[in-house]
Amino acid sequence: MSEESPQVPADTEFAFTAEREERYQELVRRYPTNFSAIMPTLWLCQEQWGWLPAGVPEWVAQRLDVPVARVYELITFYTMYYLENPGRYNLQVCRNVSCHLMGAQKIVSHLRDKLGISHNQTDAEGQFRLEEVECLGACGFAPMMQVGKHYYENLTIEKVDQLVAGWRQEGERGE
Amino acid sequence: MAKMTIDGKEHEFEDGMNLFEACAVARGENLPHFCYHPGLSIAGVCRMCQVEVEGMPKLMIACNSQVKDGMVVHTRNERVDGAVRQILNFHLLHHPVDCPVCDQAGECSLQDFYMANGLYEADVDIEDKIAKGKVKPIGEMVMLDAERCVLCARCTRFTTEITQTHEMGIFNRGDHSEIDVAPGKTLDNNYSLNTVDICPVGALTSRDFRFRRRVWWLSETDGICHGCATGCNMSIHHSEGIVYRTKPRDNMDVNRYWMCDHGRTLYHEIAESDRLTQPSVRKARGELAQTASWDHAYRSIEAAGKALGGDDAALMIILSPHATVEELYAAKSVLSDSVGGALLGYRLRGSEIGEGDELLFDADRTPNAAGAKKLGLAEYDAKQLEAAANEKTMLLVVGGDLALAAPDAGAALSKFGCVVYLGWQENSTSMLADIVLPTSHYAEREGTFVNREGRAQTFAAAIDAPGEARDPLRVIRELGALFGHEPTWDGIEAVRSELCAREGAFAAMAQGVGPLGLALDAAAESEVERA
Repeated sequence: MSEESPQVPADTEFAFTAEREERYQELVRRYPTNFSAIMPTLWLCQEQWGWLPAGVPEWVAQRLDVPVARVYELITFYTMYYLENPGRYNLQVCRNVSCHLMGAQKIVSHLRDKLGISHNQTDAEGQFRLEEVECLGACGFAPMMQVGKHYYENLTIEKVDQLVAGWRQEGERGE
Repeated sequence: MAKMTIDGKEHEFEDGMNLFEACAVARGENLPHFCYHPGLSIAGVCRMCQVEVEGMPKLMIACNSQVKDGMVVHTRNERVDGAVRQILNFHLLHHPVDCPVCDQAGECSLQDFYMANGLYEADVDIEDKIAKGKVKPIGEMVMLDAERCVLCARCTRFTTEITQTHEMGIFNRGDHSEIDVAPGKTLDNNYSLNTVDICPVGALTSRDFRFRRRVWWLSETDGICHGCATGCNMSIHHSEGIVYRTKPRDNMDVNRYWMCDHGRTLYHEIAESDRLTQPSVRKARGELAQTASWDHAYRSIEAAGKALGGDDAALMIILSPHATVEELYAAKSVLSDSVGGALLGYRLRGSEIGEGDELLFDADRTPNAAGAKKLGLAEYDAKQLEAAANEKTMLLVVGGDLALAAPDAGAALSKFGCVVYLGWQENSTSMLADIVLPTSHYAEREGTFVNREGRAQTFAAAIDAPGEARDPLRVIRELGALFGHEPTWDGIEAVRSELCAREGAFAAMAQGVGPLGLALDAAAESEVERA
């Protein structure tokens, strides 16, 4: 008995871009077993699609020839793999000691009221998602948040308002 | 060998032996544990089997430690008891404590260890327990209640290591962790109910058994599964004449700790409405069979014999690999050797063969083909049956379902002058028979099967047979008397001693086969060596 290969929805075809495919091939060679390559492969997927759309975990399991249960175990264990679309701007506000002391909670409540969403929720337009996260290593510039690959530091309510307004404009222009 | 001390007593164990197992031997009982299982890899996740090893700064989990020379271990002292209590506290933190409605109550490790090591007021009291999935069917046979789970990972290790089907996993993390099937998967392999057996708590329960009977009402009787030629050792759980479930009985030489779902659910046939509970006789072909008394049925056989030509009438016997060794021997020695019936064979060649797997389920779906072979019985083919069929012959079919195993055989059966069927279940052969003699099910009688590896394994009667069904051995004896050759034996013990004395292949059985069976070939070889 062995695992049947997981079913990827028939109408979806996933493929890495040529550059990512190359990185994927390098990953698979790097580790002694494919199990070790699950996490970096999922990162590649998130880099490409922004999250892990339905069918992607199965596709990864199939490509790496590992049980799909192992892939889902990892995805659900870690908080930074997304099985739901985190929205265009995922606001990850640090809530650890330094940021907390410097008023992170005020930033979070302000964003919560402004956007109408709380921790781990995405707004109706799929534009913003609010996530309280643990220390991101920028304590010297507390309070801070991460959006995409950027750190926004020394946050104040005014600065947050400006940022959100800018992102809203970007969104409206469809950039 | 390693000389060591456990709880103040000196012991000697094999160097490198698992400390958990050494402690079990030394204490005469297991250490408290959820995750350790001898048939699975070591997980070390439940932290219940902590012991104090002198010279080690912290307590060690016994299951992941090895025996060493000079080791001094304490399994029962204040420090160890305190640690077990703390761990139990953790395990019960989010547990719903719904024992009154939980099917595992009475055979739950969490309950047992709480009784033995706990009985405390919870040190930590949380207002909001984390809610998880309840009453979730994760497969045809298994129900999941994630709140009761202690995350021992036995079920996930089972599906990973034993069946290698990988349906299950532990998802999320921390106190949100829960076992489940992977999205889009169901636990529907043929071994799914083993996860229920090894689940130490009520997280996985059997959909076949839940809410049917509280486990403390159940009595256990040793049985042998008759679903295929593997002969898995099982325990029949019954109460007040009703069988409620069967579970595997450990036998390292046969089924280890496991059993397949197919074999486990066979017990349903015992109480099915198609059981034969009363003899029946059909006056003429084409008419409906009428229920009759045993006396009337026997007289009808006599009358049929006379009608077929009195002393000229021939008797032919077809045996079955579903019959026990004792029954096959009795039928052969009494009805064939003494009475003079012609023995066609024990099995239609190639019948009742399905698809097997590498784990336990054998392609041969009969429990005693090896036993029949050891008695010198032969297979027959459809042509032989066809050639033997004639109006002057009475055919006696002992067990099995010939007409189903080979549909063509059905046509041949109706060419015999009279067909007598001995069996416990209504089937296509009993429908064709002129006289039907109801017998007891395997769970209702004693006997011996020889499995595919030549291991003789005995089973005991768990419950009484329904209605007027009789033990096949008794029926064979009464048929012998009817034909003028009453055998000297009167019960199964006597048949066994005669069998051991007369059939060389079974000589080793004379000393008894024991609860785990007896490998006949190996026993015979060692007998020769001794001589």
